[in-house]
Amino acid sequence: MSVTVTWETDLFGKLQAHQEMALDDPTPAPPEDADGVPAAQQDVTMPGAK
Amino acid sequence: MHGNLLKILGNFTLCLALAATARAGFQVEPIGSEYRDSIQRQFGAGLCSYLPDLTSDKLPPGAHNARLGRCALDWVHPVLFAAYASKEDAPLDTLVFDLNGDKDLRNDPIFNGFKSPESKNVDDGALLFDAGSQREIELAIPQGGAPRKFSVTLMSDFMLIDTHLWLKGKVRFNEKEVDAALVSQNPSMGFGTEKNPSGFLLLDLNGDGKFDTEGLNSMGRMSREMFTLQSELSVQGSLYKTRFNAGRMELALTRYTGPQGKLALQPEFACKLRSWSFRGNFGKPDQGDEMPTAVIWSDGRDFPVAMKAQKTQLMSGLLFVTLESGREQILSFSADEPLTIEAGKTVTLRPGKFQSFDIAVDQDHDSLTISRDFVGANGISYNRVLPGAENEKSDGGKVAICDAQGKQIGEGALEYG
Repeated sequence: MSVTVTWETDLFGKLQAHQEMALDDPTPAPPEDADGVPAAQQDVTMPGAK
Repeated sequence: MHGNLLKILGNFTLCLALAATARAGFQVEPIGSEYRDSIQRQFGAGLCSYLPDLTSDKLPPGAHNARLGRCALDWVHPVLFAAYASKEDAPLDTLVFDLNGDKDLRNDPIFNGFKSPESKNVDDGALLFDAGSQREIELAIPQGGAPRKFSVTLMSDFMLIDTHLWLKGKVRFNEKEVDAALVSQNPSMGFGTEKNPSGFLLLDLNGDGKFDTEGLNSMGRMSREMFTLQSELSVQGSLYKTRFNAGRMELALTRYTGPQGKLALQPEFACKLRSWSFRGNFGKPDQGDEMPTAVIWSDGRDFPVAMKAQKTQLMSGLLFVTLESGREQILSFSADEPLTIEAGKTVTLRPGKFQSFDIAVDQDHDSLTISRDFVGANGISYNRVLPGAENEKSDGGKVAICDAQGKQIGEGALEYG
C-alpha cells in the first residue's frame, strides 16, 4: 500500500510526498469511510480491508 | 546669600521634576470609540485566575466557596477580589473588590446575581462567549477617578473581565513627544515590572493624530504602529530599551547603543507578494518553553531590523503575507538552529525556500496518522499555511491511498489537528 500527500499552496506551489507501507492487521473500517468522507485532524481512516 | 541660592535652585529642580511628571504620565481612559472594532475587540480584556494560596478571614457574611485573586482594574495597580457563592454548594454568583485597599472585603460594594456559564449546556468553545453569563458592573477604581463600567463573567477557575480601558499618554521617542497608548490582555499582570514590561504599545509614529490599526486581526497580526512591549523593543528597524514606572505611570524608550547586528528577511516563495509583515519570538538557544527574550514585530518595509549581538533562536515565527491577488495567508515556522547576530553584520532568513517535504505515516488499527516534515533551506522548519481571513478554512493537503497494484482505494483531506 502507498500513501501520497499532495499539498498545493500559493506560497510553495505543488508539493508531493509519498510513502510505501505494509498494513499491520487492519480492522475493517466503518462503511462511511469507504465513501471517501474527508478525515479530520490529520487522521485518515483506511478503506475496507482486503 | 549662598543658602538662598541653594533654596532657589532646589525649588527650581522641584518645579522641573513636577513639570516632567505631569507631561509624560499615562492616564487610565476608556479605549477610544473609533477603535471599538479594532483595538477594543482584542485588548482591554482578559482573565484573572483565582489564586489557591490566597485566602481571607474578612469575607462578606454568607460567602461560600470563596475564590480570591488580584486584578489590576486600571491595568497597573492590582486589587484583591473575591468571587463566591451566596449559597452553600451553589455556583459562584457574587463578586467583591477590595477597593479601599484595607484587605477587608466586608466594607466594599458587593455585586451579586452573576450566572454560572458552566450551568449552561454549551461546549467549551462557546463558553467564553456566552453573553448571558456576562454582567456589567460599575465601580470607581482606586486610581481611576470617575466610576467605570466593566463586563465580568465568573468562571469556576477564573474571572473574565473586560475593562474597556487603556493607558493613554505621551512617550518621548527620537527627540519628539509622541502620542502613545498601552493595552493589555492580562489584567492579573497589567504591564509587568519596571525592567520587564509586558503588554502592547501603540505609537502615533507618523503624527497624524491616530493609531494605525490597518492589518490588526485576531490571528496575531498587528498594525504598523503597534508593538509588543518588552524590555527590548524594535521600532521601525531600530532597537530600544523600555522601562515602565508604575508609580509615575511613565514609559521611557531609550535607544539601545550596545553591540548590535541586523536580521533581514527575504521571502522567496513560488508566488509574488504584494506585502508582508513578520512576528517572531526569539529566545536563548535550547531554552525550551520559557518566555521569549525578544519579540520582533515589523512590517516588511522596516527590515532589516536591529537585534542585540548575541546567539539567539527563533522559537516561533509568523509571516503575514498579502498575495498579488489580495488574498492573505499566514505561514508559521521556527528555526531548528541558533542564529548568531554579530555586531555590525546582517543575518538573512529566506522563508519560502525549502529542502525537503516528507511525510511519516503511522497506523493504529483502522486509522492512519499522517504528519508532515517540511524543512526549509536555512535551518527553518515550516509548520502551517493558514488563511489570513478569520473564517476561511485551512487546507493541509490531499491524501490518496493506493493498493500494491497502484489502484486508488481511498482519499482524504488533511486538516490541522
